Amino acid sequence: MRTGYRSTVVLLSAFLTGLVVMSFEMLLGHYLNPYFGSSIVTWGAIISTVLLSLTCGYFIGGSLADRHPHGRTIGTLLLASAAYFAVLPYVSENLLMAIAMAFEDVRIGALTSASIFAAPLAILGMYCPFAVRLLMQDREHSGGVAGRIYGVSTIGSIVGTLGVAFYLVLHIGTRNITTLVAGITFFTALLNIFLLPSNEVLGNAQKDRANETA
Amino acid sequence: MHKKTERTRLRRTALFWPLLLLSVAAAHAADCRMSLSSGEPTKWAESAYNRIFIYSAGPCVKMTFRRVGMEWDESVSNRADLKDLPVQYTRVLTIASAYPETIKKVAMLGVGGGSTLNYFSQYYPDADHIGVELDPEVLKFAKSDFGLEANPRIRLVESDGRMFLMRSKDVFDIVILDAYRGGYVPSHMLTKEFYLLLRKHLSQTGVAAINLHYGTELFESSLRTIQEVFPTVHAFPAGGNVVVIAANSPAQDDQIRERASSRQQKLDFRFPLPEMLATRKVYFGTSKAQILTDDFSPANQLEQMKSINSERRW
Repeated sequence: MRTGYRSTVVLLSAFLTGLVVMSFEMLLGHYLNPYFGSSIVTWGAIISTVLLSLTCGYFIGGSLADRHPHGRTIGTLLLASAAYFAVLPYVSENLLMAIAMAFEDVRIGALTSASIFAAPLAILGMYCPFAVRLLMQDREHSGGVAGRIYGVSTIGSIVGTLGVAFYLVLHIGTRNITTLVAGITFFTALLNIFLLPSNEVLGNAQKDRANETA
Repeated sequence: MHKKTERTRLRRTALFWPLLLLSVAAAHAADCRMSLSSGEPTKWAESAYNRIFIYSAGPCVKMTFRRVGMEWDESVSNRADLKDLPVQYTRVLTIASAYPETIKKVAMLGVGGGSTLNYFSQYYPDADHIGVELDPEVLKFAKSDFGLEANPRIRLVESDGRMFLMRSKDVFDIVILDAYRGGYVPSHMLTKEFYLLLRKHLSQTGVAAINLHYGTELFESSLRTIQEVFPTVHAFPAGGNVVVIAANSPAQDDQIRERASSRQQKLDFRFPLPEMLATRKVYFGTSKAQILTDDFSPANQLEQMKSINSERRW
């Protein structure tokens, strides 16, 4: 029962972080287009930045999860991410304009601009390895747990992509979608801080190790 | 008898070929669109932005882009006659020259083959003509196949149109906006912020001549957005397109008409300004059309939506 509740919270969070990553990636196009055009160069800069952020997130998130396998650790980081999203619409215009004027080469300009959006995405990328650590009970089911988490997170990404591209962009605009993204990230942060506070998983892991030694 | 017949036949033959050549040449001069309506591309290239195809027939040359399974005519030029504008909307774009008090600087965002720029450079040889084109492959063809390299009055810049304006300190008397990429305009060049930037780069009596596709919700939104930024916005139907003239200062009808006739008398335009000016129509747009901004620009989606009752709005 306890495991079921824990699993629901973690999978829901994985779904929501996946949703936010791709919603935000779609939004990046709208942020950068006015300054760098909507060409393949801009999209190349966006996609590579998102992938780099996720790469950092996976590495750092994985090692951090082993050291601090608590919901509140990743939850606090997600709070920072939410704050970043909330502030972005108010500062992005001046920042992007300054970068566009500073670099003659569109590729460097677009890549530099995309990189200012990297930090919150890296934090979101940390969630999946964290989730694996939070849900892992024993080695026998580790593959299934990791598979479920990445599957659910990717479904979230699909919903985020289609939601923004097919619906939200038509109705509420980039700033409002960013605020919505900030809200979802904030909600996910609270879920993790308040509903996954215990150190229970670490206990299980230690139990596993003890069994192995025995 | 036999001899005479032979001579007559010879005379006929001698007359036949030059006449045929003349008539073919005349046909070319008269309608490049017709002579280019069939045939295979002579050159093609794939750039970072477009799949470009070049068709040639005599002096006529056409550039097309292929997108979403369709082939879009981007530019048609008559290399033997730079005052020829084979495509109707490009003729209508030249109405822009009736508006400004003086014409010293002309810019074209989205050069394609550059026929409109070539035309202006023939009639305003002392003005600066700048062509801004994003796609280096398009620029290459414009120079080699559309004769832009040979025209010393035109300066070409490889840049995104909006970035060019962001960086430029110049003001222009005419800015021609034709930045199509196979049937659509990139969304960052359709927003209120873009038109505000464009207006900043117009001289006191300067105008923007904007080519818009007609019949979709995007047309409604584009027109409404332009009206939001410019004090005078005139619409001229041009086949399936609409040319919109957006003026930096409020324009007086009688003053423009007067300017059109005096310039026509002085410069003898191939496509007469006063007559084209008379094709202006009042468009009753829908109040439901949304203004496009950098924040809210669902241009791609609006382009897919057919405008409701669009034929009733003229």
